Amino acid sequence: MEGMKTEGQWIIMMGFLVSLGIFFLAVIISQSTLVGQTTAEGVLEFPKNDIQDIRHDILEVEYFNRTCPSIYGSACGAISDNISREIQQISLYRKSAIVSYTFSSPSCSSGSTRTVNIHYNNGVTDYDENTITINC
Amino acid sequence: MVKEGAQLYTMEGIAAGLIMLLTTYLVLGSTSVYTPGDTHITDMQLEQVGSDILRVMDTPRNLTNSLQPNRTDLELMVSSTNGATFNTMFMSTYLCRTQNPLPVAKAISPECSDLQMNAGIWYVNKSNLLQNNPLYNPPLGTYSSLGPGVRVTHWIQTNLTGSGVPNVRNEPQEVLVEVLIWKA
Repeated sequence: MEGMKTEGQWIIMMGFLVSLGIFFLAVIISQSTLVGQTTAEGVLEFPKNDIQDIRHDILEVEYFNRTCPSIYGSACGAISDNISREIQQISLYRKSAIVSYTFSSPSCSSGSTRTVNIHYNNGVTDYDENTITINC
Repeated sequence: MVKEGAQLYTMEGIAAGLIMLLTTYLVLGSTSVYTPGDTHITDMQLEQVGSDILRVMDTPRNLTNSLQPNRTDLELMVSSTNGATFNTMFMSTYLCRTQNPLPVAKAISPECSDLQMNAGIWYVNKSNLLQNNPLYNPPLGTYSSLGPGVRVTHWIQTNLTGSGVPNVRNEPQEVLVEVLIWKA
């Protein structure tokens, strides 16, 4: 061992360092594709159109609910209950989503507003909204 | 006398080889996860376009009588079960329009004639049960598909009383318009 050159030890040490670096880079690369997939799945699974659509419809129902008494009189309570049940039933069976909404009671004083509460859950996405519309 | 220096180089060679194998394994393994993400991107685009078309069709032409029953093209076609007009409007006017402004679907499918659609409505009938009424069925022979179909839906609040749709409740109600689009 006396006459042996020791430069080889440096080569081994540098080799290990470089390979450790490459190894960590590889781990990062493999993680990044996984992250990309999760993000893509998140975008695909988010029911953007369903939420926009049900929201648009519920706001129309709110308008109907407000103007209903002048057209249908005392039948309005039953009609509104039916509409609410129809939305729940159809969303559950055709859209696999639980949808419910409530309106605060209407009052016709000037400048008053009405709160619309929308709840949507399709098992993956849970969406709750409190929005305010014009009253009367 | 045998020199021992070469042993170190051999060890380094083996270590480097192992690490390269491990790296290749990791890199190859990671790319195979990539497929589920990008296969549905074109479907997503078609779904978005279809959803937008239904929304445009449910926009009142005349703002003064907005929020009246049957005020939009979509509501009129649903309450009169006018599937032929629905199909023409959905496919020719919007999805596969050939005049400017050209729609996005042209980019998806240069020959738009290979897109097919099937439409129907869902509502709660007199017995409180969910019922389906077809709006448009494509001709027989177009039901084969080259790829996955997309389903787009739109809620409308309307009154189907006296519309010819069977078993409807005689009062304002909720209707879900469902359109299935696929590449035939």
